Amino acid sequence: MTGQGQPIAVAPLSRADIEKFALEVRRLLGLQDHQSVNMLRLIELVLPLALDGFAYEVVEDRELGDAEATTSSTERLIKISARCYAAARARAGRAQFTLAHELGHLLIHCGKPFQMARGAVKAYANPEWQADCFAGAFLAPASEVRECRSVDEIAARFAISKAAANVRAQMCDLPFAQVKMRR
Amino acid sequence: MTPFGKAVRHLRIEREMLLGDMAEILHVSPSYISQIEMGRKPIPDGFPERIASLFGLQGEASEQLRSDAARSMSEFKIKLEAGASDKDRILANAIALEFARLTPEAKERIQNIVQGSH
Repeated sequence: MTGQGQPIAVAPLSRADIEKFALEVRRLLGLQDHQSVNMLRLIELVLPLALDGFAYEVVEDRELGDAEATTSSTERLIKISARCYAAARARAGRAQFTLAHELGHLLIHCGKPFQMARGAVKAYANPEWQADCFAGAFLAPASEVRECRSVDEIAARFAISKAAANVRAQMCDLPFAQVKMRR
Repeated sequence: MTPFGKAVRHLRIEREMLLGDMAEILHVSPSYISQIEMGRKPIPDGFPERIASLFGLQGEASEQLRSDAARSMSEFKIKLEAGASDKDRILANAIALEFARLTPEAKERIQNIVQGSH
């Protein structure tokens, strides 16, 4: 979706709605709740068969400007920058999260109405917030995160960055979550 | 996506091969292959053959990929031998320039001649 500039508002969704939806999507795609996701394999080998009209494209970095990846608001198309693709291939946690975030846009926002908002948009109606929630919940289901004993364990089990693992730990109210850590 | 792009993607999914794996084998970048698949870059000379050999396609399967590629292209090259006669050069040029003006019947006749020559 569009990045900076005019804020975009979409139909509001609560974190709980998104957690539930992400878990359903995982299960529909045949993933066990405890399994980590390899986002590239999912995008390249699974989604083209599972989602009608789905396409992905790897483009030169400069085509996307500062974005690592983008999702069309009208077609089921995810564009991945060459550098993000290379990072995802090496299973870098950050790239995994970026691709899961784009999948969130694709499933939640693609083809749906949105509005240009003047001024601040509430988190629940912000597509970027929603896609981030989706990415976390999709990569690391809450019930499984609660079984982990450290941020490092969450990061390792679900192939996500420590920053993203810490956010998941916070969401799940785990005692070892660090409050100040930045993503 | 072009018919050729779809065919290549299908082959990759069948063999569980990622774009990056394929790019490595062909010594090109993932974006290069991706852009060809999406029809954003023309299919380079010899590319369908490289794909066919990469996937070990033979006979009908390799023919099919070649025709998928042809269906995805908007420009074609006619290669003449170094010693080609002026007559050949003028004919090749005329085909390239006048192709759009050929009637369906004329195309049919050319098709028959080309297929008959095999």
